[in-house]
Amino acid sequence: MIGKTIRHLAIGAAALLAGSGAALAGKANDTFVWATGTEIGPPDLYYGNQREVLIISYAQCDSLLHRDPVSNEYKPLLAESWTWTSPTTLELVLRKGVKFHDGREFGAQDVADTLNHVSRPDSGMQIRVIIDWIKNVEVVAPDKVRIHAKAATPAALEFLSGTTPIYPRGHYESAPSVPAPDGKTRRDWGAVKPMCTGPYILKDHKPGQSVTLVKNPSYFAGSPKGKPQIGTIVYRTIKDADTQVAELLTGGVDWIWGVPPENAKQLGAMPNVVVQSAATMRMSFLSLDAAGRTGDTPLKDLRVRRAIFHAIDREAIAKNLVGEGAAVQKSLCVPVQFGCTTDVPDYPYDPAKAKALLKEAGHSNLSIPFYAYRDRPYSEAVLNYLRQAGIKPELKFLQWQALRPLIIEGKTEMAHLTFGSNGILDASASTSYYFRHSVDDYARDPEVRDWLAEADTSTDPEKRKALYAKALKKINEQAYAVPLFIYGRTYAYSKDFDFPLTQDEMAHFYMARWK
Amino acid sequence: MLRFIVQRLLVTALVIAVTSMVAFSLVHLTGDPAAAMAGENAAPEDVEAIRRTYGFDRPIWEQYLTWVGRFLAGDFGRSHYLKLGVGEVLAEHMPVTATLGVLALAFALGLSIPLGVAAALRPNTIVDRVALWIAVAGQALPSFLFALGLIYVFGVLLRWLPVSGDATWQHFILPSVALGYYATPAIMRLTRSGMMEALQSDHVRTARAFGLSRWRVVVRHGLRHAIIPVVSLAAVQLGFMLGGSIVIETVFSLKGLGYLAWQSIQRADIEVIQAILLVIAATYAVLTLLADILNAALDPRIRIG
Amino acid sequence: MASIASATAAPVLALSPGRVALGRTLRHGGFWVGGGILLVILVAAILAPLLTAHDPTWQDLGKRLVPPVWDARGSWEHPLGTDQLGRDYLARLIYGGRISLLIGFATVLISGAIGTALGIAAGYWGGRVDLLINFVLTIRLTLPVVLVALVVVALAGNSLTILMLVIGLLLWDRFAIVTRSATQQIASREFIVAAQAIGSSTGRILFKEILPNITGPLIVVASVELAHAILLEAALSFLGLGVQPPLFTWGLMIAEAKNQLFFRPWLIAVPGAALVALIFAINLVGDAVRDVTAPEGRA
Repeated sequence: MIGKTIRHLAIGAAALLAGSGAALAGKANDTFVWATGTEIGPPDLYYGNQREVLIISYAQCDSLLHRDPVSNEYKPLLAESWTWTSPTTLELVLRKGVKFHDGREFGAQDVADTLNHVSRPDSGMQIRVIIDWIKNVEVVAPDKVRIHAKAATPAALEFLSGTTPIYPRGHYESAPSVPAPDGKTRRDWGAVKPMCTGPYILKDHKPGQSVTLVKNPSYFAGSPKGKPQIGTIVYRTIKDADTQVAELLTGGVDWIWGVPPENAKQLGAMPNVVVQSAATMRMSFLSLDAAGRTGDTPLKDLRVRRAIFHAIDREAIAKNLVGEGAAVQKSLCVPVQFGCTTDVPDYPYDPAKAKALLKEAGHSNLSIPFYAYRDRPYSEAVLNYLRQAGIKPELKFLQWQALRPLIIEGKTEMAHLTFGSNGILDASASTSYYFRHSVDDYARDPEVRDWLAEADTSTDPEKRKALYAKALKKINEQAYAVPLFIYGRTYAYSKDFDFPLTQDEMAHFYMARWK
Repeated sequence: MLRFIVQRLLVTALVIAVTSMVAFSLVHLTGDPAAAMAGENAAPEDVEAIRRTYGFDRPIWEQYLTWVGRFLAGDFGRSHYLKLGVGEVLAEHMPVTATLGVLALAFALGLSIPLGVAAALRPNTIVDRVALWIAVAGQALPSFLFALGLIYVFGVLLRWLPVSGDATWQHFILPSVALGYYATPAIMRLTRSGMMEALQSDHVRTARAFGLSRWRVVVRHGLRHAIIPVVSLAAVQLGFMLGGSIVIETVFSLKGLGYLAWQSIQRADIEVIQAILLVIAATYAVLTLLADILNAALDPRIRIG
Repeated sequence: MASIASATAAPVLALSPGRVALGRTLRHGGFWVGGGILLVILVAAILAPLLTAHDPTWQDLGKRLVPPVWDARGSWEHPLGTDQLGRDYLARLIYGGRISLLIGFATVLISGAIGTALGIAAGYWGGRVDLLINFVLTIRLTLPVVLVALVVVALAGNSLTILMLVIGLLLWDRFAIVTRSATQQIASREFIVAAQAIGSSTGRILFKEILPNITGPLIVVASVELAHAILLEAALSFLGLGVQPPLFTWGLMIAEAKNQLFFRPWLIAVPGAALVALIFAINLVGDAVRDVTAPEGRA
């Protein structure tokens, strides 16, 4: 019956779209159209940190390094080679003969201008962690730069791949001056259209509606990203999930993601669509106030924290609710990240044991505020498990902008949080983010902090791994936080399309081709 | 009459001025705009930086005066999310909402005036009852539920009309019906009572006694008088629709002002939010002013009261 | 400004003051139908634990989206099936009216108190007081209700208290308009003049003489605003900014089922029907009171 509904819907959509002037997608036109619900401004990754911008930026732009999305190895892209000449100095030799899309030659000054611009404290860049380690960039020769770091930064190579596109020298000089509330003007750096060297050229951008990329015919040979295959790549914003599905079924769109698990099966049964799921880098966990930042909370008691762990059927949430691609999270990091281990103490689902622990701790009737901000059904499922173990959580579901100040001020006893590590494949972006006594740290364990600080700045990979493992084990042993699950994502796309599915919540369209 | 208009103009200007203060303080006092704009997992230093960059650290009245000054000079601010001038963003979304509002009002009038007239001609009969029930059903139906129902019936089951987006004129049919239906009870009731009053008036009775055709009496003498308050109500209802279209635009993914408002709330694009609040409120105030003046022009009695 | 007021309040303005004729109300058909539905919903909300064995918030993730009993795969264990978290839908339906009604009544108390106080003051004293209150009223009418509520709730958080306060502070306009004109009509009548003449205190006149004489119109407005508040909460819930779990309303149930429109429309139809029935019943009762207190104003 449900299959029938989808077919009805598909035919209906086809009838409705005819004559609506929808851009023709598909293999026949060599035009690949992908759609999500996000509205985006100019696709400058430094000033718009949506996932869609990251996807576009990977196709349009090149960074100094490229991390192969399958092998996770760092490969030379705009930099041909690199060496740490001191613990805080990274020297890079640049590739010669590379041209920007406007024909200008790429060189050291471009790297210095771009990175020096965004690493300025007042650059207004959104995810500062990516460039905050840079003190300054020095031009040594036309094909050589030296990056001076503020401190030893083993994750520097990670930061320099993908998430730091290089623009031409003087790129931001054309930023418009816009009125600031203090009566003066400020520069709106993010309003400049990106200009890059990558496999695709930005042809058109309609704010909030679409982005059109066309193949760069003179993309340099020998790029680890390969030669682009598909002629035109169009991004369209389609807010409504049902419309996305209808357009996919009728060929108006070739690729969508975020298909709800309950609809994935029906969609997969359609003849012209392929449905696939994969893990992402976004983790979902409970932050518990073990340090007592909110005051004298029962969560300072280890037994209570372990009881919360035992109370939640993480397996059921990951498998039945979050669905395909999702997995139970074992430790406070994502397994694909460097330094992340899942060999940590675990607490299986056991409501009876949870109740016993609470009773032992003298908190059989525990009432506690429970903050959440994203994917309410998941928060509700966690909440209901807690209730079934005899805890009385009061849900406070806020918009992120309302919750964030409370976290910073130390007012959230228990919070259901999610974090995508900004796409960085290193435990310094996840574990250290939450346990190095930052504003987000509700455990405040000095031992864990010191281990992590050492791991974050050590250049010996084995030593780093050992230190992260030590920290992660103690975090779970002490139940400072309850890792719940790692989000999955379900992709649905035209069967003509050969999609390079990866485990990094990305869509590497520059690698894609038609079948 | 001139004195009346000047007086109303002044009051409207004052209303808009006060409303702009309310709109501004709503956005600035109920939350921390800098934290909202900084986005997910921003460090406190980043929030501080944004607060300085955008000038949120200055006294609120100073910020307000700067904002109003710019607004009057035609500069509506800047969308920090879309990196566009607010004026540009509004200009892009306004036509959709205006189209939707006008079509919805047309639907509401087209349904409720005939119903009201029919009810007035046959008061306390089955015609009257049915007309009343059609209108009252509009009050009991939550607009989003009605919209979902329309989508299900006309989009999914019958497949007659598109249900999402604003590409063609057909896209506006269902949203206009969903939005307009809400205004029918009030307009219908007012038409009915106005009509009944007019039909009982002396000159209508006289006209009838003179043997004028029934239809002519109804239209020339009845409806013409009954319509005066309806015009005023219609203008006010149009104002309500502009403010209430947020739910309908969201359900149908119509990229109008309401949709923009809801998106901007979610991404903390505060300069857009406060501009929309002000634009919608000002539009309502101006429409009310027009209704008042029109009313006064058509019916001199009002000017005295 | 008077014309704004008369335009929006026209349906209720035509009321004549007077005591609610109880006997006539009880002979009114609409009153019995509306009152009957309302009673059923109220009783169901109050006696919910006796009507269903299921806990409406108890989830079973292994039994998500079980179809209702009329579907081939349904069963009597969950007559209306389960929702996306595997909770019994019948239990949620029965309990769901509680918070809707609570929000409705609480906000009507708040908005009724504000609106009536302002309306009586404007109507009794007139002059500058009237002008000032009319101005405040115009400001309030100028602000788009849904948008303002959304902005406040999004930025300040949406606890039940904030929700009731926001809705209550937004919906007092009709109370003010109606009580103002009703008070104006009464203020010049003999018994008020007589009371003033014998030196009754202003408070006594307002509370003992005027207020009891405008209860008819007040009940009518209260019924309209009760429905309005419940609908507004439902709309906010629909946009994701209504009540918080584990609390839930029919509006929230519809919101949660929004994405199921194509595949499982009953998840929307069931709470939707309940919500419509409730609003319809409230309107019927309000109309009945209007008919009886002011038959000539029924239109």
